[in-house]
Amino acid sequence: MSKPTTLMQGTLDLLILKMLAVKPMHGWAIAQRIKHMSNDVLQVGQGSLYPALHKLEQQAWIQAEWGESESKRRAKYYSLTSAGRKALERETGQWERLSTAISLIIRPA
Amino acid sequence: MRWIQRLRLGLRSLFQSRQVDQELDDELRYHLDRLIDENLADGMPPEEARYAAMRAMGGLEQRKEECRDARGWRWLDDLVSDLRFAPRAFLKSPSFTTVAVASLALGIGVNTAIFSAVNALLLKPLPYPHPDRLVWIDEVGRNDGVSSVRGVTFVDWSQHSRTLDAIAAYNTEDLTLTGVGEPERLAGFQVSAGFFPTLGTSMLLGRNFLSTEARAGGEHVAVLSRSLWQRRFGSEPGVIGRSIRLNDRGYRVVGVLPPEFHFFGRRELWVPLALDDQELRGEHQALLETFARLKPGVTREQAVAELETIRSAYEKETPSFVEGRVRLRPLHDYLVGGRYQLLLILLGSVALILVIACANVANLMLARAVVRQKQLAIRAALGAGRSRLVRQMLAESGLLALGGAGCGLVLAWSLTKVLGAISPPDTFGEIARVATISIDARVLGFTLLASLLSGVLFGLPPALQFSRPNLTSSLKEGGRGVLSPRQRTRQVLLVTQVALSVVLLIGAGLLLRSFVNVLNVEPGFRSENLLTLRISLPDTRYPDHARRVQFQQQLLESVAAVPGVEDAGAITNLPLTGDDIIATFTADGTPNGRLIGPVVLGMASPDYFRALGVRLRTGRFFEAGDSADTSPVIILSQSLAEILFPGQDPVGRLVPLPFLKGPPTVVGVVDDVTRQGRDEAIRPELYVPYQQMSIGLMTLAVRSTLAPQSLATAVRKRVLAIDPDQPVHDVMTMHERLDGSVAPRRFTLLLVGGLALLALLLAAGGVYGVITYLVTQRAHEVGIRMALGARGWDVLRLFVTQGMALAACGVAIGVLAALGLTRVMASLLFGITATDPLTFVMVAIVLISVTLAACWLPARRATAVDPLVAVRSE
Repeated sequence: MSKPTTLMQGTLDLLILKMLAVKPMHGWAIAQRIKHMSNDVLQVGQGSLYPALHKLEQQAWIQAEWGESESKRRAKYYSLTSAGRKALERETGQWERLSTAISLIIRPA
Repeated sequence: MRWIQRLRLGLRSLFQSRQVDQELDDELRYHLDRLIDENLADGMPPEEARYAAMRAMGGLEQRKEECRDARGWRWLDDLVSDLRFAPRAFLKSPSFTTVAVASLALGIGVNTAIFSAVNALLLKPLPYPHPDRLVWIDEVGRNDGVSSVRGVTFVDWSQHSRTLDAIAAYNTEDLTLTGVGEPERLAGFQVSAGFFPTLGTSMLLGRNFLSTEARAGGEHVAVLSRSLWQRRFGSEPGVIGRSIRLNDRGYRVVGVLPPEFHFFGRRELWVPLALDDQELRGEHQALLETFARLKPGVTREQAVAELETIRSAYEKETPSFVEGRVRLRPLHDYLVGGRYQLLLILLGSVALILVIACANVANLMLARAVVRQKQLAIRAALGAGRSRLVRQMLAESGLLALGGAGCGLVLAWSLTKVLGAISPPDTFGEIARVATISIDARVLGFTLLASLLSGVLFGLPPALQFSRPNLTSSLKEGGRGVLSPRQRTRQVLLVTQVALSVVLLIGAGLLLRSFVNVLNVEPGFRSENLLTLRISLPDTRYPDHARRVQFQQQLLESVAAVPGVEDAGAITNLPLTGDDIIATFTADGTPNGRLIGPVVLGMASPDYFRALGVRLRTGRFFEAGDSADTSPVIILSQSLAEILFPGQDPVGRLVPLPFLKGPPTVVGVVDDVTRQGRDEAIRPELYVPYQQMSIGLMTLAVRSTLAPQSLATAVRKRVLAIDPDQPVHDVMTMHERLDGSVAPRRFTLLLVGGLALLALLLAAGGVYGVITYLVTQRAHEVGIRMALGARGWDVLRLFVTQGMALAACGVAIGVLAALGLTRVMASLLFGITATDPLTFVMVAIVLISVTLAACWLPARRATAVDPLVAVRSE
């Protein structure tokens, strides 16, 4: 496995929220989706995914529900709450400002 | 809405922790299974696929822990498990638990009991609607020293005030009820029509007084207390409208008060206050007790300004106008004023007790922590952080404190019952609210707060010390080399305990010495075998001097004939029966002469002095021959004789008294007697024969060879035989009166003394515990010493010296603290100063002796150490 890019603090939260904005998913699916969508650049370590999910649930940005997975097994599905939707907008805006600012610095015109 | 989800999750992890854990497990296991599936699909053999997946997850248990931490309810989980674990640990050391909970229960119990008294007397509002608007009105700064409001001022205020909702005035008035069974003297009030409306009281039956009834010439009407209505009228509703006889006049009953109505002691009868023109504007103006209800939103300052204006506008012209300032105080302040001191002293005392109890428990916890040191060290080695260990130990102490609080509440509840039963009337304020002392929500809140505070107080020192265990030395067997800083905490705690109990004991000692001093004051009469009772002759049946004298002579002759009676005498007011009649006069009879007085004036029967047992110093007592027809005579008390005729023989001298028909001759000098109580200053006293000057009041003193109370019925019968409508009241032995006069003092002594003893007991227990602990800890060392030839005495000295050094330190600090603190109780002391050396020395000796004993007992056990066993125990 190539060395995965480490995620900045808080970025994982943003990615999780973004994934869940599409549709409710369980932890495994979130990890896979992040991996695929980033062309395998971003690999979410299991060590950080589940604590992050539980923290977001505790913050009431996402909520959990048990459901049946595509492999016909019980899995815990997370979905975005309205507070989470607002948080996603806010965080996205912040991220964009931040990445623009960083780009300006490291790629001077 | 977010907080609802958060709360729901929090409650879930608290109460459904097993299910939450199971779900976490399922969730992670699902992930693991998917990983395995993926690996299998990649063509790995099953065993390897599983192994690789596990590796990728990096340890399921660790992931779970991280998730639990991420939820942020970890501390709650910990708390729950700590609280679940703690009782088990406590049950394993029952003697520790018992002593700790008992200490705390005592500390918290007395605090709760005293706080419930403070709550009932100072914090609870008065039992009237909108009590915050009730104000007491009086005047200050008047040159005649009177603070009551004049009748005319009251009338002007009630007519013209705009800032007051209602204003009320009253006077105390005792009335004799006749015509229904035996005549009875009843305590009552004359009240203005606004009295009940101002307080916001409505009648149980009937109605309030009308304003037409509360004026001169108005109809005589009366309102009864419920207890009187039950006792004398069989709770008949038909009593309304019925006519009863009070002081030989007909009164129509118009109302009955509700049972909870309470205002200034036990009163049973209310009649309208009807001031005639003479009382309003004449020479002898009525003086009234006055209070009012402010209009909503009106401040006291605004009301004072308005009342001042009204007073000067209407009264400047009246000849008897006296300069003064109107003063308004919240009624609550007026009623409980002056009781703060005792309650504050008690609150301070119980707070000290709680600190001593906490120090005790802290010491026990320290000793226990030493035993558990290894356990804590293992936990720390396994990764429990310092805060985790502190939290665990605080949870334990919190639980201990709550246990103590539970037992303390039971104790407090019984203490409040005892407090209510033994407190003399009026100790805690003019209104008898001791009965209302109870444990309500506020008291419960206080108890909870006190217990949590003490939990932190005794839990924090050991927790902070032992949460940073020295791993290597603690894990090694014994680990006795690391005790020194803990030893210091222990010593500080012990010194604190001793010092605080010294303060309390000195306080109690000063009260005890004062009490003894009061008891040692000679009252000036003999109180044994003396029955006393009061008779008030109404003006209607006894309008003149001759009839009063005849009644008294007849009665005294008749009572003297009762078997067992030795002497029967009477005087207007016996010592300790209430208000004195006060007179002032000038030494030479001219208006500008030397002012004598105030002097207590007593109108006495010939046998009065013999019956009371007052010693004659010189001259003679009154005789039957001193009558209205002979020249006036008087007897002086010793102190008055010294004022009037210093260094001379007063017998035969004339005193220019204005209120007799000529200047009387002094015929005798008697001992001073205590008038209001043995701790009050002696008042000079002047006696005139009842036969030469009389009013309708008399107190009988009957000396007998029998138990005095047994004569009461016989004497009452003699009175009724002479006048069937004449009640006697206030029947008591002189002994009871003397006893009653020191009751508040005894009550204070009992409370503070009890608390001080409790403090001593706790502190002695603390010393005992610490020395016992030292002895066990150093058994090894003692064994070596003894093996090397130390004798029992040397070992004993080793521990006793150590304990006594600390005790001496505590005593010194306590004495210094007491020097500063006892000043607050100076006004409660009698015959000694707040820094009475004897008390201080005695308390120091007592404390040193008690701590010596508390050191000696465990130290003796050390001498019994078998050197072989002690040395081998390593």
